[in-house]
Amino acid sequence: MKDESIRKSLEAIARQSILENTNLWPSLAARLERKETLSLNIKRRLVWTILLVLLGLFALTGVAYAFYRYFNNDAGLQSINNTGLLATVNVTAQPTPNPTATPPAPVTAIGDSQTLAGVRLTLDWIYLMDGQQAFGFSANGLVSGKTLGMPELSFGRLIPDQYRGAGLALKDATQPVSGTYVVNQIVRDSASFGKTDTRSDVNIDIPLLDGTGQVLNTFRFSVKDELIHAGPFVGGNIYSTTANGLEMDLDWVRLNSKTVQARLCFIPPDGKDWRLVSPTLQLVTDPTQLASVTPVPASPAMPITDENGTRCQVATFPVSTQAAQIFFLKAAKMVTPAGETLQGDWTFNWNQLPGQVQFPGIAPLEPASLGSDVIASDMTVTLEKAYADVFRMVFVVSIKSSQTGLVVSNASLKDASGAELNNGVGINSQPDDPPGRFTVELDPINEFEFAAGQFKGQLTLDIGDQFGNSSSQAQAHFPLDIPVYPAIVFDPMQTITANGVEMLLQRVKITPSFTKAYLCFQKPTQADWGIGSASTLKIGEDTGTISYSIFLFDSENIGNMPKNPEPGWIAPVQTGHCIAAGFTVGHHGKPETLILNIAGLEQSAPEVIPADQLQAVRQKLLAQGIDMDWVTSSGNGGGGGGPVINTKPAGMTDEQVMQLFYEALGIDYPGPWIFTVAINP
Amino acid sequence: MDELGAIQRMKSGDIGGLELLVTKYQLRAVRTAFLITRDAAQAEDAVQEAFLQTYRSIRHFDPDRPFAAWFMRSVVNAAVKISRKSARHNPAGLDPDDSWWEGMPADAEPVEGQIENSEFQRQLWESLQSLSPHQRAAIVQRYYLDMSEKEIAAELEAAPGTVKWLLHAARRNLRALLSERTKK
Repeated sequence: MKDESIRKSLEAIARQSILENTNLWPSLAARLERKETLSLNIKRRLVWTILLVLLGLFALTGVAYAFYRYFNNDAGLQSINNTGLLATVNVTAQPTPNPTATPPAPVTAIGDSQTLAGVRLTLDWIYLMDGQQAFGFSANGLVSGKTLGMPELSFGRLIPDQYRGAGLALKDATQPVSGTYVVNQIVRDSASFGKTDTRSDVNIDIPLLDGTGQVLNTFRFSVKDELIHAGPFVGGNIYSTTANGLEMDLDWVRLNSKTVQARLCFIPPDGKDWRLVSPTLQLVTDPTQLASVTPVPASPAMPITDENGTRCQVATFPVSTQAAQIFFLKAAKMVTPAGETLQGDWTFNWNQLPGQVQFPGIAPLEPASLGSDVIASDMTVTLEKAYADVFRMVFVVSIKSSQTGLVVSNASLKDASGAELNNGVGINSQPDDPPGRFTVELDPINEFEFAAGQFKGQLTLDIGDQFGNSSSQAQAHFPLDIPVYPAIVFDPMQTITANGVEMLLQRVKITPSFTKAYLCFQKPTQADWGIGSASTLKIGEDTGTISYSIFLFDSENIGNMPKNPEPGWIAPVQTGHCIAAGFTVGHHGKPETLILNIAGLEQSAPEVIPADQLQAVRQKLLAQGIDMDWVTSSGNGGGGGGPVINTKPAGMTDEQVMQLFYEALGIDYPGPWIFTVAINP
Repeated sequence: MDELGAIQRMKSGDIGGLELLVTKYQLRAVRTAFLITRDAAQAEDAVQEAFLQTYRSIRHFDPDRPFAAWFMRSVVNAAVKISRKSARHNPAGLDPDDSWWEGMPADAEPVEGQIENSEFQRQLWESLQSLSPHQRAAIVQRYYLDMSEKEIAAELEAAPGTVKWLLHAARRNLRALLSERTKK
């Protein structure tokens, strides 16, 4: 066997199987639109938990959200509002409802029944998407402890891929018992995918259990030649979590009126006899309750099964689930019979408990408290105020309607020629705003898109309800003819040295609402150093925080540098690293002092930290009374990574813990570099 | 827009930067994933996951490092993960996709050479199926992506000895399987 033969053969196999015209971008772009809201790198556990829960709810309701940002810390925005630059417009439009797409109908009513051991089970419906499958059933005669176990679905010749957890919910407090089973996995015909519909037989096995959990018999239903609808991944449930290098999977959950069971699987480290100890569960109807609901520990008995080197344990929690929407499970400790201990933070959020999922075409199982998804015909949208400079445009808009809960869900801008501009969107309600009023900010991808002078074009606002099936059910269009304020430009060329690192403030560009500072510095090491997130800019009495940082130049990477990173900008140094940093504060049209405080340099926090490095950092922090873990999670539709603080010294804030963590990791380099510049717009 | 420009656009939150990287790397990535997952649909899913992961974590990417190696590591990891999950949930012995074999093209070689190579490729393909996903990944990284043992070790964050052992075990198994198939 020659290496060259293997090489050539692999090349030939790959070339034959995957054709040159492979194009992932259309489906990837569609997925990204949804995934964007799930891209998390959260630094505190509670925030992480609540965000995941909220994001899961968004996924649950199918709403694609714009980024809502809080502007109340935005000194530049407050300033232009106070000085009247945020000018009154007061133009009202009647939104045009968007055409309603015909929803897919992936639910098929079945109605087949079988009777085994005195239990009559009816398969009511099945729901078949290629990313998620489900079925509903009802049962008479489930008495004397009899119940149903975890079902199994199979699809004839099609083999499911990417199993991402399953759930069974039994409503068994009253007779007849009803239930829903949901499984997240891919079912596709890989040979015909993208060319023709996938059709398959569907076989469903549901075990009937006695009061001790033993299988009495198995109900078997077979549905022939069903269409499996192509559709997006749905969910928000975390099915896999890695903490301190050990991956744990939540294989399935089973819920009834008295208990929740969860099957957790992992590969025991070092092949030892590791066993989970006392996982806990919180069940809530609203994510804000998580902080106040006491976690319930699992019953001590957690049966073990070992298969192909993977160990699974079923944890049983004595809690009722009938009204809960959200489930938060945590495993924190494993032990061996020899007394060894392994600690971690394996947490799993489920925001789609199977009993609460509403499938299209199936009547809600509980009265829905979600808003209507029909736009009222009496709605008007008013563009109250507008402001533009070369760094951002800001609009204050209000929605009036007999229907409550309407929001501006997205915004876009076209120039006079009708070309859509490429910009970011931020939407928010100020704390003192009346209901229905929103502040919309559009940021250009580069400042040259919003040219100083007069902007003529069109603003389009998407209007939707908070929990509808679509984020955009109507559109309001506003013609724009507004001044775009220019930036004043200074070149301070001021150099400050701190902690052995020299930093140059080359240039500042200032508008009434925003400042862009151009900085160059020598990197402390050959790594991806940037300026710290605690950096601030003060102009007069207003202080702004850093909004973004754009990489412009790096002498160590000169071969790969873009030739013209920003038109009109030339690197002022031969060696070093240059960036442009944006701050949410602007000038006030008078002589003032600008103070730029770069508190430190930072490398990006890694999402995955090598185990040995993590151990070294943990030991260092333990000596300072800090116990923390680094956790990454994978979910249906997203995931994230971040630290979890278990214990810390009294009086120490989370921010201080994180600072020590990053310093121990070697990714923080303290300054400060403080520049003071007189400006005269 | 060049690759570095695309990365910088992504770092500033612009999804548009990703399109260029997708265009540039998707074919190599899907082929790599296919050799590990042995299924075209799974390979595409793995590569989509890798691109999404790249988009999520691009701000952690050090532009001083070669992007291709960083990205292909995500592809290999995603493919291994999918293979492991599939192996756990698929009935044993079912081959997800062997249809590629039909219609293997004739390269510009003498007929005997084509037959000989085609036979070797078929045996190699079948033998790869018997390796664990990790071993398949090591073979693919070494021979398809042309990475050195040191590079594989760096990307896997494993000791060079571990990779040497992994490759050795994979080659040994492959050799034994090929030898067995040749005798049949």
